[in-house]
Amino acid sequence: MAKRKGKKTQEAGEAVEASGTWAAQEASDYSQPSLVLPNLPKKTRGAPTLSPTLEDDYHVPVGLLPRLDQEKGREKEGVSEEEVGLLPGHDQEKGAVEGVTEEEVGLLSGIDKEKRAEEEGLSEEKADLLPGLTLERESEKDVCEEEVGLLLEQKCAPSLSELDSSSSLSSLEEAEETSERPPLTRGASNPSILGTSRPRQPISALRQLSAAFVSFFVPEKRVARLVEDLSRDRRTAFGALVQDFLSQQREAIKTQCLRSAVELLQGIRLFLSQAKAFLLDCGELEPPIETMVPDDEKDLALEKAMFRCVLKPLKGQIDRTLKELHERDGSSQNMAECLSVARGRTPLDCFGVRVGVPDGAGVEKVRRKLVLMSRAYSPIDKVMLLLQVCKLIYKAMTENSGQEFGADDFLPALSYVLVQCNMPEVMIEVEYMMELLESSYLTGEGGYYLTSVYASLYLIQSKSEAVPSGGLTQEARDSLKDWSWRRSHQAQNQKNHRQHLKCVRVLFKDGEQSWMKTLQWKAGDNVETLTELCAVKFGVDNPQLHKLYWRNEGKLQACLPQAQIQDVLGQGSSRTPLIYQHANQEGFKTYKLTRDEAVDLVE
Amino acid sequence: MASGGGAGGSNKTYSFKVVLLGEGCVGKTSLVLRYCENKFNDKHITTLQASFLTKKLNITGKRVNLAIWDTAGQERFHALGPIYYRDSNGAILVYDITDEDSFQKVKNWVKELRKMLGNEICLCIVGNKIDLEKERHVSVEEAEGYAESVGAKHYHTSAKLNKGIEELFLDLCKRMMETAQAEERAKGNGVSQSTSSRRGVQIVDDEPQAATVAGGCCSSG
Repeated sequence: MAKRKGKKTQEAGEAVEASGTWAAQEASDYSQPSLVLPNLPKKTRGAPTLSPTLEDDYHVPVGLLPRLDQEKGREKEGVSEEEVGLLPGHDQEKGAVEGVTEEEVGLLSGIDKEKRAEEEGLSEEKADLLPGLTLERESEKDVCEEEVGLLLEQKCAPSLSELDSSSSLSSLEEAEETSERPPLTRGASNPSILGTSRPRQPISALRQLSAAFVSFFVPEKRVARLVEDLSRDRRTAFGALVQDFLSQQREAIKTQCLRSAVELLQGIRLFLSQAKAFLLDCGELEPPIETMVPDDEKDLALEKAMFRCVLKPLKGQIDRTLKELHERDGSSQNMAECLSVARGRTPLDCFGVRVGVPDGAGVEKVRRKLVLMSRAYSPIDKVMLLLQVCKLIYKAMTENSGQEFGADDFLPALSYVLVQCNMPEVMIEVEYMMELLESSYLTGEGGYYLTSVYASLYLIQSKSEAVPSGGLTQEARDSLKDWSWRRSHQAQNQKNHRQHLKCVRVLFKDGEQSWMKTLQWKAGDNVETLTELCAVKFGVDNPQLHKLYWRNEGKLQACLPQAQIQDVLGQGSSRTPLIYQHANQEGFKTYKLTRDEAVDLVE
Repeated sequence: MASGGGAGGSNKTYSFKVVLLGEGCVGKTSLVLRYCENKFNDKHITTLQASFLTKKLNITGKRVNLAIWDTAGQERFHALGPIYYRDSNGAILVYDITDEDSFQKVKNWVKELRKMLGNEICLCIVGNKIDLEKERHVSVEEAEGYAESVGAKHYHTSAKLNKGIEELFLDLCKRMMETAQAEERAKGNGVSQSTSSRRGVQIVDDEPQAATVAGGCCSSG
């Protein structure tokens, strides 16, 4: 294996040299099957063979160098911005920056992390996680190469398979990071007050440096932090959206009006997608996400950020509720029973295992990963732990044979291990991941192994029943169909939604006061509808006297009530605000304007 | 981005899911390993394991990401099929030309797939182990005739000799692209009713989903 790798590295190195630029290298990422295209463009590959190699996919440091430089250039801006934020006076940024240093330093220095973990009572898991991750790296030549891999992978479209080598499980790291920045309260004029009320530690140069260093490597963390801060600030449209949803969910959970776990999770998933689209549209995220991560990483970064601001605060409640719901419908008990029945029935024979399986210690290791999985709030992190579990199983399978295994051998081994672990709650975890991960993440490696665990659990459950000749019960088949349909349907809905929900910023002027709000509208809404919405949102007493205006070369012009909003906004840009004010203010404003120009015509 | 046959933007990338079905021992694992060997993706935890493999292709200028899902072929796992093959764009059904029984299994799979997924899944029936031609128990005529009768394509392969495999996957990719393009066109004409119809599952939406975001109508001061 090492040999193979060495060869590959070499080949890939050559490929890079041959192709010269990174762009060319990227283009050759997709090999052209020689059967269709006998004339390969020179820059992509060597002589066509029937079995074209795809080594370009394997990225090596040589290829990294140009890329790194680019990255540096692009990132410089971001970093310096952050440093500016460190200076006193830039209060708004400060909260976020403190977040960076705390979190990222923890990430960098193992000792610091260990200590924090201990404080949180997580030391055991942490200790487990860290060596586990180190193990993961064993095969890598060195850490640097791994980082390289990480960076390079990010230019590909996000898929779980690519997430794998990312060793950071943010949702677990954050467990110790959460010094629970309190949510910014409505109307707090200066968010930094919150910051200063805590004894602030002087930020050392080293910390600054490491923060910059980390945000250089993990720009998506920066996105997550900024989005989280925004989501806590009720004064922003996005913050209000998220906070309203959180309180609505807490209420729903408290009053136990939820009928099923699926309903709960689906509601959350829908909100995640909508809020994500909203965030992109409303322009409240500063700096814009485009400046922080490349286009193809945007969605993943946002997805993770949304998990952080929605799932993290709800984690405890969601867990409890799911547990209750599954106890109520008897599925937890059923699973537990099936597991114990399977354990009593010589599980090796039961699943027809023909390969090596993890021994007692191996099973214990898997168990610990599964426990860790249940602590993560992020479905992406959960899937990564699941992949680590699968890797442990493969390791046991291949230990004595060196053979390569397909599903024929893996599925029985997986089922065996799941039975040995005896953790009925894994069922709930699987459901959590399947319902909360966006469909596009479910087609990759993570999706495959998640599906395998799901299949395994079904198998275990059907074992104890009188198995119908078809194997799966009709009920199981139906629930699968349901799920599959929901997901494809949902994806469709989301697409429609994205097209339909738009934001517009409206500046409300009331005498000398003015304030801005971001409002949502749908395709087909006209100005009249929006005017009505403004009246409600700004709480005006006499809506009939207020109108919407747009700025035309410095002059205010009233919007026609029947005009479509998209026409008013021209290109649909949400950045230039409309103005909502008392109709009589119009003249007043003009008057003021002219007076500024010292042409005192009207009095 | 899109899970099935989807592609977005002007710079098209197709993502296809292909499920691998067939009795144990017909050589599906070797087949797919042969296709993907030297090309396995280092980012995968499982590296050399053949349960899940991906391949990137460039076919007439269009990028194709292929995800190949292996399934357990033993009889006792048969019922788990739907869990794996849902949302597949293509299915590769492998039998062993020396084993009449394995061909029968393929027929069963075809029936089930057509029933569950309709006509839009591209089916490939693959007679593997043509290196054992002398021991052939499934006649070429019968197999090809059957494939044609069910709208599937038939291929002869040998994983051992690396014969016919490249052609199989390339052909499948082209067909899946055609299907995806036809679907897009249909969508453009407003004919198709989204992907849900092609999955052949019709379930009434119980609750208006937007209800959950009712409170989220934007800003509240």
